[in-house]
Amino acid sequence: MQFISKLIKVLRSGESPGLIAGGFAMGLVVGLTPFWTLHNVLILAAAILTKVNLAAVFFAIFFFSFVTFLFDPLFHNLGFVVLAQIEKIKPLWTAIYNWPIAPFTRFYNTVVMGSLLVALALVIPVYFLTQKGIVAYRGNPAAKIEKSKFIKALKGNFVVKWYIKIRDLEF
Amino acid sequence: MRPKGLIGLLVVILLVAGAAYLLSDRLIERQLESAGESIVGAKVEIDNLNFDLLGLAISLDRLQVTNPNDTWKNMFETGEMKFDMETAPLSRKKIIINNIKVADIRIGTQRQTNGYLPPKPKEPPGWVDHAIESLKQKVAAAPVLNLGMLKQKINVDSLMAFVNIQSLQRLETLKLSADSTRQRWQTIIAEFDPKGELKAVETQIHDLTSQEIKGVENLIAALDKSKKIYDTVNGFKKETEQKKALAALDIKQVKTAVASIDNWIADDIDAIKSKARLPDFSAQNIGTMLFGHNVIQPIVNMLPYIDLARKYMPAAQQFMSAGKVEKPPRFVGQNIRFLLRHPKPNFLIEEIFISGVTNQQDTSKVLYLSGKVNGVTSHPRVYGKPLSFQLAADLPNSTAYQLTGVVDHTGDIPAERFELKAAGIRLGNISLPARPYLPSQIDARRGDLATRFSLAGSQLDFEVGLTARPVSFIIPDSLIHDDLISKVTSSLFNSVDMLQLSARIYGTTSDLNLQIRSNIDNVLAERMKELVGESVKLARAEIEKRVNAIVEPKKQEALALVSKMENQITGGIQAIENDINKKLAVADEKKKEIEKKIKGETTKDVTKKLKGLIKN
Repeated sequence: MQFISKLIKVLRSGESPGLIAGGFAMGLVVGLTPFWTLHNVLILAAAILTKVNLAAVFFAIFFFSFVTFLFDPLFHNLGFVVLAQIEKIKPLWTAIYNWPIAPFTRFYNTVVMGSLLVALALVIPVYFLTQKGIVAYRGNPAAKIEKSKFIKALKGNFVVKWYIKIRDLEF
Repeated sequence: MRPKGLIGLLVVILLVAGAAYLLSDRLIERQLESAGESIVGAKVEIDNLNFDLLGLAISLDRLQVTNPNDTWKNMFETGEMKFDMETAPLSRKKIIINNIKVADIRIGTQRQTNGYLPPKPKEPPGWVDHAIESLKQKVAAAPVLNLGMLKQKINVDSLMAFVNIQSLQRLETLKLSADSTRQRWQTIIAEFDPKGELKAVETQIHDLTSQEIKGVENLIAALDKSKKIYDTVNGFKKETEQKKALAALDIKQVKTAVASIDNWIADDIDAIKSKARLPDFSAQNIGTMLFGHNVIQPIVNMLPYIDLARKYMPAAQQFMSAGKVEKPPRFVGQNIRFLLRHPKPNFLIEEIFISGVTNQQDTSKVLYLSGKVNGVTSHPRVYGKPLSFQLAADLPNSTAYQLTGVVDHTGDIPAERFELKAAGIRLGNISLPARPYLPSQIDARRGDLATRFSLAGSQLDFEVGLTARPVSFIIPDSLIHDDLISKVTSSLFNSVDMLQLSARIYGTTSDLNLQIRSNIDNVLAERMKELVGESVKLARAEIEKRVNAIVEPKKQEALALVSKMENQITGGIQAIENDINKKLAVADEKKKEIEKKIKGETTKDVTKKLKGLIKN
């Protein structure tokens, strides 16, 4: 809920669409792939150290974790094909497998490999689409969305009201 | 760059590092203790383990391993230990230690606390349990040398009253079988007997009086009829022969049982003798009776450890992933293994150097321990070399014990080989099973010991040779009696001052053979045979006589029934066969007679026709 609230604030704010889209793309990779891998640690460190939007990162992680749950069997199948059934690239995997850091990457896991490939394929299109979407949102539909029945219904919800009350408390 | 992010990240890193620094020692210590305890079955304690994360080194002040058979004592404890781990394999969770120096090792030290651990839930019996059970059964199967029993008169009457003589039942079954066979064949013979048919045949033959048949054509018709009669009788003959063969098989079956009658009686006699527990004073039995428990003990103690070694250092492992896992758990997937250029086992200690002193308080009893163990690994096939060890325990001026061994689990079949040699060692008291008239302890001053053990798969071979001198056999007062047997055994054991023992346990672990020989066996066997042999011999003869007296009448009845069965069956079939043969001969004769007449008539007719031709 906090992510959504922050995200809406961010979308409305003047923050650069590129930084928001960058954070969203980073979160996509982390969210789609199993968490405890070297690339995720590096991406998160990069997200913390750079100025990408962290709310967008965490929102994307949260959102794509659900997507992963749905597509997990597909990632496993794709990973198995890439790792075990394409003979030509097996020497490459063998070489990487022999690197000392290989166990931290967990690239030899079918779900890691499958989901990482999908994430890498999506990351650039998602970056540009998100960037365009933010620009478009800030242009005209922001007010429309605010007045939409869905948002009104959401704001009328008891839990949301309670949340907003607590959020706006001043000490 | 986000400065707050950098600080936050550094804080997280520092927190993780701090927690690892604070908790890793205790965590590793507990894991090592727990692994040791699961192997030993009693407490394993490590004092002040220190894990140096930067140097990747572990040091500890003391390691205590409780003796599971006496939990107030340590099997051994060590002094300070320090060793390094290889860095690169740690990324694959592999612990590779090149060498460890275990100095100041002490054996059998007293513990401050009880090292007892509750036993684990009993697992279903495995090969070790079967092997131990097989050995214990072999020792238990040796007759108990209860010399006291020999003083008493063996009461054959009471023995016979409690024994069920099996051969009586078997003879009864044989009688029933012979009688039912006889009755069955009587029915078969009665149903088959072709008396009526043969009578009809006889009449038909009688009707074919060749003198009364005139003309070649009539004679040829008579010949056909005679041939048919012959074939009919011959058919009966063939059927009789088949029945005769079947009857012979049935008779043979019954007679086979008859041939076993004497064996049945012998089995009964043996069963009664075993109930009487008449001692068999063979040298082999005496060796097993006296030393069986002691000889199997090293194997009983050793096999569970070999089982553990086979469990934790398994041979023949599958490392490469085999096929696709169709539905792995969500988010788990399947790890695909690729070939490692320099594969390492998950756990390996390449070399352990051991040194220590057993008893520093009493220098006359001190043993200096030294040796090394190579290749302690969780994956022997990956490491490619077997575990080997050479340990020596030296006295101040000589070598007392030498223990060498190889645990080879690098191939498909695990194999273990150990050798222990000991020269001039102090043996002390050796306990024997307490039995009247016999020693319960041997006090052996010094001795030489040589043992060789090998286990390849399930094929076990263990040999032990012991020479002890001087020895004294201790018979407690409670086991000494004021009689001749006591005097003889006491004087015998007092006269022996050396013990020479050789034993071998061999075979598959589920069915082990036991051979034990000692210099006492023959001497004791001969003396006991002289002393009590006569009464045992008489008892044996009496048992044989009694059993024969009971069984013999039944045996004769059975034999008579079998004989009656055979006579009736063979006699019945023979009578039919004789009758058929007679009729067959008559039919054959008639056929020949008609053939002869046809020949004569034909010649006469031809001559007549030729004469007519010449005249014309």
